[in-house]
Amino acid sequence: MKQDELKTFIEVVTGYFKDATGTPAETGLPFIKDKEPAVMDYTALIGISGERRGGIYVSASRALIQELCAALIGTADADEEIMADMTGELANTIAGNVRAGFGSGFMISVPMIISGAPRDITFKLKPPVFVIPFTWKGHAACLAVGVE
Amino acid sequence: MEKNTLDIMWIVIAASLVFFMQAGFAFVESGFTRSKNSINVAIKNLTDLGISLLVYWIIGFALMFGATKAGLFGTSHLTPSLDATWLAVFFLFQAMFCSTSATIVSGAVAERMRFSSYIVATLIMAGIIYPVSGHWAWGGAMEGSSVGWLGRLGFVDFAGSSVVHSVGGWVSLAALLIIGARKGRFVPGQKPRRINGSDIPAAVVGVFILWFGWFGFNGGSTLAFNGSVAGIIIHTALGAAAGMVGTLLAGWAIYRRPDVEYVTNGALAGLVAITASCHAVTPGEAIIIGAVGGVVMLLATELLIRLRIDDAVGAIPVHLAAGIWGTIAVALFGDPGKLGTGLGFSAQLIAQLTGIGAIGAWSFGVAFILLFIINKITPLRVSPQDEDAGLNIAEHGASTEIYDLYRVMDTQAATGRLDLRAPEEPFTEIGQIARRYNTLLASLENHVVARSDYNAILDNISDGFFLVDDGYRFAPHYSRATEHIFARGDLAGERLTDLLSQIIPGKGLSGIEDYLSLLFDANLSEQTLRSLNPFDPVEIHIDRGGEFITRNVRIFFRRIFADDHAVRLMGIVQDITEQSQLSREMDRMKRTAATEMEMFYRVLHMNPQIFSEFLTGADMELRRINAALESSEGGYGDKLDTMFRAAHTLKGDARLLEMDFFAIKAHEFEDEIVAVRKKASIESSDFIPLAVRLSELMGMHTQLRSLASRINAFQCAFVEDNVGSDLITWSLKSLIDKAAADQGRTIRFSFASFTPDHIPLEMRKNIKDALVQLTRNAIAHGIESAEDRTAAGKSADAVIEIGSAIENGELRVFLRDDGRGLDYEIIRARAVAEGLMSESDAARASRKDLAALIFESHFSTAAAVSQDSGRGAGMGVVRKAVERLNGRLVIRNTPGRSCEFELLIPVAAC
Repeated sequence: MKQDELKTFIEVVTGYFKDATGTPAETGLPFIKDKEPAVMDYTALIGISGERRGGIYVSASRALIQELCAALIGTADADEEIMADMTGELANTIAGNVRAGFGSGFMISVPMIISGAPRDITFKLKPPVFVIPFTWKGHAACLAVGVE
Repeated sequence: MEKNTLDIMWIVIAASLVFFMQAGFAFVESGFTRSKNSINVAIKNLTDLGISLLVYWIIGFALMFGATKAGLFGTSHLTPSLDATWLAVFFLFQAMFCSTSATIVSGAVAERMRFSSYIVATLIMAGIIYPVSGHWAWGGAMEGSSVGWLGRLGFVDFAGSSVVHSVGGWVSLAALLIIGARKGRFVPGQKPRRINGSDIPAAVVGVFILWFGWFGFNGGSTLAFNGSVAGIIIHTALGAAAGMVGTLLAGWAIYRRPDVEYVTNGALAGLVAITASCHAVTPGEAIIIGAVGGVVMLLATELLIRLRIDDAVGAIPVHLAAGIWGTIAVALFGDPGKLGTGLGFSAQLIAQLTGIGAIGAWSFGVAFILLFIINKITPLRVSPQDEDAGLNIAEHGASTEIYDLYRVMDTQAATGRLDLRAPEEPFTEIGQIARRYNTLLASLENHVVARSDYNAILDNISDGFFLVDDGYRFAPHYSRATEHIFARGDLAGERLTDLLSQIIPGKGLSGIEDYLSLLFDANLSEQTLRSLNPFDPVEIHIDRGGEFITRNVRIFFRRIFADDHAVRLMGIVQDITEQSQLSREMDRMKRTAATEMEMFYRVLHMNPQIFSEFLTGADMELRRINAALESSEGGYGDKLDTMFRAAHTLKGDARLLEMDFFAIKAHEFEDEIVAVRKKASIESSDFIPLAVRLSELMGMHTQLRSLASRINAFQCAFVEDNVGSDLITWSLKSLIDKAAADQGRTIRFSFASFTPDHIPLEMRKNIKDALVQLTRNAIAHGIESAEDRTAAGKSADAVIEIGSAIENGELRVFLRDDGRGLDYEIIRARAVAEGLMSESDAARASRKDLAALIFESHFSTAAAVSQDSGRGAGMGVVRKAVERLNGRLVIRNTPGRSCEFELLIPVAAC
């Protein structure tokens, strides 16, 4: 993973929130995660294949997803299914926007929503896995990128 | 009673006609029943004839026509000798009547009554029931008188509507009530199921025969060939015709169709009805009696169905119901003169009704009681399995062609076996059907076997085989491996181009179609197409939700031509993932081996244990850097300081071990940190290059650890004495020796008073880091040149000494050099130059204050930055190490002579 590529991911995340909600996300410092996954309440995993291999996942706190549901679909009290769908949509849009920068050889899978203890999530990603924490409207989330 | 020859001849002919009625019954009953029972029904007709004839000769005739006992039964003529002509003729005629009555039962109970039980019923019928009631009505007929109690009462039943037919009907009813309906006829909760006969034309022929035989049955009952015979026969025919037409019209009106069974039974009902009065009515009356008899039969049939009494051929409606009607009709229509009873209408009607009731009570009562008892002893009915199989096979072991054909078909339906063949009789209709069926089977079997072979190939071949049309759509049949390789089911009708564009990156739908369209161009050669094939080989990526399955495949096509045009493509897909992975893995191993070999040369000189300790220390530093990035605490400046110190330690350790490639990476990392730190405003994105550099260092560290593991394994396996020195003394000695060699000085390292075992394992890393930095500091700032030392009156050879002790629960580790010691004035000047102190504060600062400055980050008294010193990070590492160990640091400085740093660490602290 090159600096510019990592930068692309970060710009896509901030850009997504800004374009979709008008409020950009604030990114924290990227760090490296190799064993225990950094996950929160809702996690969506997307496989990457083609010219690059690995995967990314977006993990977000319940508060962030709730706020996002309220902002995008006007649902203040979204149920679990809607929240999970919103997490998948978030991951899918981020991956799709990244693909626009990486080209058509960068294949992205449909998101897999993960609930419970995601023990094997890091195996789906290729090390080193960069974790980019970010906050949006004060709510925490992170993007993990493990792509060869 | 004298009879002339003509009379005798007529009665013999009439008896023969009645005998022939048995054939009629056989046709009717076997035609109206299923083929699996047809033989059983026919053989019952024949058997009851024989048995009833014998029994009637032994006892029946005596009971019926012997000298009367109170008008109830006869007592003479047991086993009659039949010498007298009239006796013989009369016996013949009456025996045929008895057989007729007996055979009625066989039709009603057809398809479920045991053959043996039926024989018993025939014995009872011909030996007791029929003769006794017959005596009541006809006793004394042989002598031209009337001795039976019914006959004397004026009861008239000319040819036996009640005496013959009703008796058969009553016994049938009794038997049916005991043995029950056929399987499937009346299922609870469902409408009654009609069980169709197997050969209706035969049944119709049977009716013809019965009708014909009835001419003898009624015509012979005159017991003389006189002028009334013709009238009786024509009345009989009219009654039959009226019964048939009446039933036809009534049935058509009710059921909206001319039901065959009702039409045939209508004729028989007309015959039964007219039998009692055919000698004493007009043709018109005969027609009325016959027509009403048909309608009565219809009504009785419906009644039986409602009562769920299963009469297989309609024997009860025809013989019992129409028989009762015919007996009543004697009183209604009979010419009193011809009846000859001398009774008025009412008296005649009462006599008729009495006869009906008495005969019914006797016939039904005796039959029911005896059959009930017999049924308790041995069941009258066959087993359900035998009923399913049919009585032909179950009772007689006799099969029929159609049954054999059915059996083959049933077996095939149950087992799916196509190798079975039906038996073929070359000269019968069923045989010809069987032959054609066998021909069909042979063809079907060949087709199925061929198809089974193709399917076996398609199911088991490991390559994908499929056909696509010119719209690129999959044909319905393709190998199972095609679905497996593409990880997609139900491909039939799907477009190959859609599938490929989803699983092959970069090419897009149009790119794929471009090549496939070329395949339909007949002008292009196979060789050209092969060279253009973009799918040989190609990687396919299958989306499994959250991850991809990647396969390496070869896809190539063969064109299928028709009239010089490529009409379809045969696609072949080979999964070469394993070979590709093996090849890739070998390439990777080659590259890894090359990299590791280079590293191996670089670390070959190192003591494995020291190398291992270095890697452990490096791991801690790398984690420390990552933790600084991950932690949400502390400002960016603090994080950068932490990262810098860790990088500096990494670099120093790497240099100690002469791992320049690692030290250079760490130095570059330091440069990145310095570059960020120099920025006026630090953003989170500025840390991206640091994270990437960190990942590179981590990757290198991982490679080194893998290498160390293998070296260690090798050492363990092949080197017996693998005892190395400890990392602290080795590191310091290496550092000192290297510096001395670089600078052309002689520096002696004394560690006699240092005991490595004093240092707890968990403290070694921090203490080693501190001592390394202090040693580096002593070399850079403390030890003078040989000339300066000589000028100062010192030995030209400098000494750096370390020692250790544990006293009062405290670990004491010192490092002392005999150099120039701390030069407070230089420190003071540097503090002012760095802006750490004002000139006035610096002038007032104590030695302790000044000494503390050297542990500040970025403070250095070195004139320039080098890989050994100059960034002011080293003494900061010392301070951090002591802080981590909860210890303290004592400096004993003698300017110009020596400087000693002592670390005092509580042993319980860690």
